[in-house]
Amino acid sequence: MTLASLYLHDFRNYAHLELSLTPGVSLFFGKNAQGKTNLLEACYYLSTLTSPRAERDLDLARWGTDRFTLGARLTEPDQTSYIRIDTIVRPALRRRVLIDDRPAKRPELVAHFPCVYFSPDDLYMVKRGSSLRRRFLDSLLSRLDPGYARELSRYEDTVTRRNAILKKAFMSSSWDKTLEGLDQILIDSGSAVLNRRLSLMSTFSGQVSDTYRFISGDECSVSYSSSLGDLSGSREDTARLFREKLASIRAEERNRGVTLVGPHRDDISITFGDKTVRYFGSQGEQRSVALALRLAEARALEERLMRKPVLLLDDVFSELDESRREKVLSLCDFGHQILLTSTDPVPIAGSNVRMYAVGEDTVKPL
Amino acid sequence: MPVFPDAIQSLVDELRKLPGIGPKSAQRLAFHLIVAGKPAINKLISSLEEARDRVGYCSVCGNLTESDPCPICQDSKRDRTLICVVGYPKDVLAIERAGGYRGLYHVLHGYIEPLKGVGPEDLRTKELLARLGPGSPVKEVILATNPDVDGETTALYLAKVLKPLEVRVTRLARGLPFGADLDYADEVTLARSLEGRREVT
Ligand SMILES: Nc1ncnc2c1ncn2[C@@H]1O[C@H](COP(=O)(O)OP(=O)(O)O)[C@@H](O)[C@H]1O
Ligand SMILES: [Mg+2]
Ligand SMILES: [Zn+2]
Repeated sequence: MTLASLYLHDFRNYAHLELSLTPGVSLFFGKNAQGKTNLLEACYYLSTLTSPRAERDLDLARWGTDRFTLGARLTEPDQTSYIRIDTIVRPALRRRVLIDDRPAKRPELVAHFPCVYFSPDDLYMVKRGSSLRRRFLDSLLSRLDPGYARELSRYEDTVTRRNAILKKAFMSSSWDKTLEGLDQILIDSGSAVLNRRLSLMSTFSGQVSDTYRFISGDECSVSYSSSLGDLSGSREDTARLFREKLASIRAEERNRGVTLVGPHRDDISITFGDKTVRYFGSQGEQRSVALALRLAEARALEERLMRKPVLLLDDVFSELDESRREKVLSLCDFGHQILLTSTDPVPIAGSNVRMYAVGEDTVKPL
Repeated sequence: MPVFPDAIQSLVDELRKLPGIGPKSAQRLAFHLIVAGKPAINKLISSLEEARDRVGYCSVCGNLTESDPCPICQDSKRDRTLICVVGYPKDVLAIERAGGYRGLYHVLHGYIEPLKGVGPEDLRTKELLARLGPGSPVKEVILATNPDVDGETTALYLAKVLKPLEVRVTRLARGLPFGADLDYADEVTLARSLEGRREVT
């Protein structure tokens, strides 16, 4: 699959842009704040209906406008297809997604045009607390498994409601009964979320080790680490463990007014031998792990969707050393199309590289 | 922003309070009414007044009605062994439209919403228990709450409270999309999930 052309209308700083692309590497360079990230963001939105950085679609419409349109032409040896997304951001969010002129939903979009977005901020996934690692896993799972997002939002809705009751100074018997019901939903949806996360991790952890070895030649291991303890049993075992845990920390939860265990408190642990990368890895090693996580994301998507994701590398190139750059670029030879941005025209050898200059709210092929 | 005469502005402000009406629609409606003239406006005023004066809540089931008890509660052909519990009067309408259900209703006037501090006591739960007291003909209570967390929480709460009573408690079959409103479900889906209801455990 090749992203052969892109179309942006009233998206971020682009009033109107039509751009032809070729397989291999497309390098977008330009000064800061020219719209390089915006371009990759458009690709990612065409794949997932979400932005890798904006919280709301409202921020994506060009200032002074209420709607934007994105389009893509995708070619394969034997066929061409088109994606078109119209998003109205005001007064209420409304979206129309068409694949080959037929209405489509997010799972079809992801399956049709998988993309992976790499950002320098990916480093924080490795360096900081657990929430970015959970978000990474949730974002991947919601693309691999359309039912996941629904179960996760059921779980998260339950946590916020449960917390509101736990915060009450006085617990009437009717609120107490309500809490019992919420516990039941928490355990049910939480076990469903855990089940899906664990089933992903059973293959994903190996994929991360593989991609890390590919990048650095070294070993790292990745595993799911749950606030509930050891989750090696069946889904029923998990539910039982969850129930026991809740019962044992009820008093503390009442004290603190929050839900203290469950998938919203879990983590992915990444280690070199017995050392946690988060605390003991060098900056360079941490960057490689972040890159490995994204490359493993691409592999997981590819295995499920039977398509090579387009790799969107935003500003990450300048931070890699020569050998790691080559490793990443070699992925083109395995059939990945790569779009990368940089503030300077990094010299890249090879015949399959095309350069584009980004500036003055437009993009020009060189 | 253009400035309107005060009277129009206050009309726009009132219309904006209605569900689904944004500032632009409110303006459009206000201008439409004023241009439509006296007869049209008087007709609207009198139907609003009529609705205000003649429509109230049924003292038995809580549905909107012009007579108390409401026609459904009075209908001798309806199955008095069945009560379907819903959140709002609009849900009664949705189930009636779907057809096939011949029992009675109970409208809670809301759901348990911990985020808004709305608890079981703020709903018509006591009235429901009263209908199930000794000598009641009711054999089954169907919990037809929205398939979101507040709806689920409300259903689980009611199931717990109803448990000691000698009555079967069922819930709509899943099949309604999670997070969807009952009154947005299409008629076939709704009828099917009523038929496929299961006992709450
Ligand atoms: N909704 C928007 N409408 C118009 N311009 C925008 C919008 N959002 C961001 N911009 C502009 O886009 C530029 C940033 O683009 P970005 O792609 O992040 O730059 P970079 O080339 O450094 O990656 C800024 O100049 C900003 O003013
Ligand atoms: Mg940028
Ligand atoms: Zn009635």
